[in-house]
Amino acid sequence: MLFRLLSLPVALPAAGIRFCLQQVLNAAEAELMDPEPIKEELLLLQLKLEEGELTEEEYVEREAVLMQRWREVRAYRARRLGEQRSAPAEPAGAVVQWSGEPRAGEEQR
Amino acid sequence: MAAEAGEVVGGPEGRAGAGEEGIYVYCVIEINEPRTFGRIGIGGRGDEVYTIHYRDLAAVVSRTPLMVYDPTRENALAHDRVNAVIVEEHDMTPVPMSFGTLFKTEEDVVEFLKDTYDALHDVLQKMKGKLEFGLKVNWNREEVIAELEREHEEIRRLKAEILNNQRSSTYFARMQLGRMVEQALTEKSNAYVREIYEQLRDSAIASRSNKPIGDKMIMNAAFLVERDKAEAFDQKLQEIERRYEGKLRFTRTGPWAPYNFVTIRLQLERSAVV
Repeated sequence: MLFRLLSLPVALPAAGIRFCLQQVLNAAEAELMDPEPIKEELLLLQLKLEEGELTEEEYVEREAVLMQRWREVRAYRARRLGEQRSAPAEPAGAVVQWSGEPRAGEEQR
Repeated sequence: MAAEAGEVVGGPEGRAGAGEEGIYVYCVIEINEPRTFGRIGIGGRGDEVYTIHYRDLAAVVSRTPLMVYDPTRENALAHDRVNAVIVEEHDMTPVPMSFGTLFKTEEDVVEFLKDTYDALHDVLQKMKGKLEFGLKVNWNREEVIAELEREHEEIRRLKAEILNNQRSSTYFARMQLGRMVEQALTEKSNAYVREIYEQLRDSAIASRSNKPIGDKMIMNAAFLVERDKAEAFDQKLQEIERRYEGKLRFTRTGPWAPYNFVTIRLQLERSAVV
């Protein structure tokens, strides 16, 4: 009798908790596997090098760390898309966009 | 679907194995006769940069190990260098490819040119004789804040009140001061940026605003300028630089191929991979 009672309501909250945990995991994963912060860090690093705040060696060292993260993100995204990015794909044309029309001062990003 | 950076594109021969060679594409130009641009190919092997033709267009390429290129500074510079050589030494305006575009064979490159011919030809006409110049504007945040504290009455008053312990809670007063200063900084930088764009409006065909990098930068823009107006544009920039001397620092770059004004997104069809 107790066993039967336990087996019914346990399904619902556990499913709810599982759902929440999965959401947290997804969000964390999405944040870690976002290429944007890596790109920004790379740009910042290059700026520091240009401004003389870093030596060439220091730059190369830190860039290597970022590239490792970059590769991880790339591999992750390839897995998520369920495809093997290193496999060649057939070219099927391209979309070419030109934004050089006179519109001075316009915010693009 | 669109290709991601570092995409390897090729025919249906199957997966790329280790040690295989591919073709790295730097840009597309309008040219009828084959040309070479020196042994400046990406990858540090001294590969010759040459052209692969289709009708009156050519892809500027070099042989390379078939791999995904990391966007390191070294690689990006190699990519830029080829585009720069074309712009500066050969007086041509290339349509630059995204970094890291590789094809498996020369036939694949021809196929790409064929499939995209109309769009590429169209954009090349639009781009003819146009160059890109970059402009980054920096300020000294601390100096600007000091200036704000002198000139901005509310900020000066609030700061004095905090220092003289006239506020019942210095924590909240400091928060308020911080917010005021940030607000004033944003207004001031926006005003500078607006002024600079206004002054360059007649010298450039178009402009593009990119995200500033770091906390010293207030403007990060690209300008599209006609080749024969390039010198006038540069002089205008020098004029502006002099006008803001002591307050703003300008970093001018270029001429570049119009990276910020053209994008090529490859369309791919995934072949079934065993």
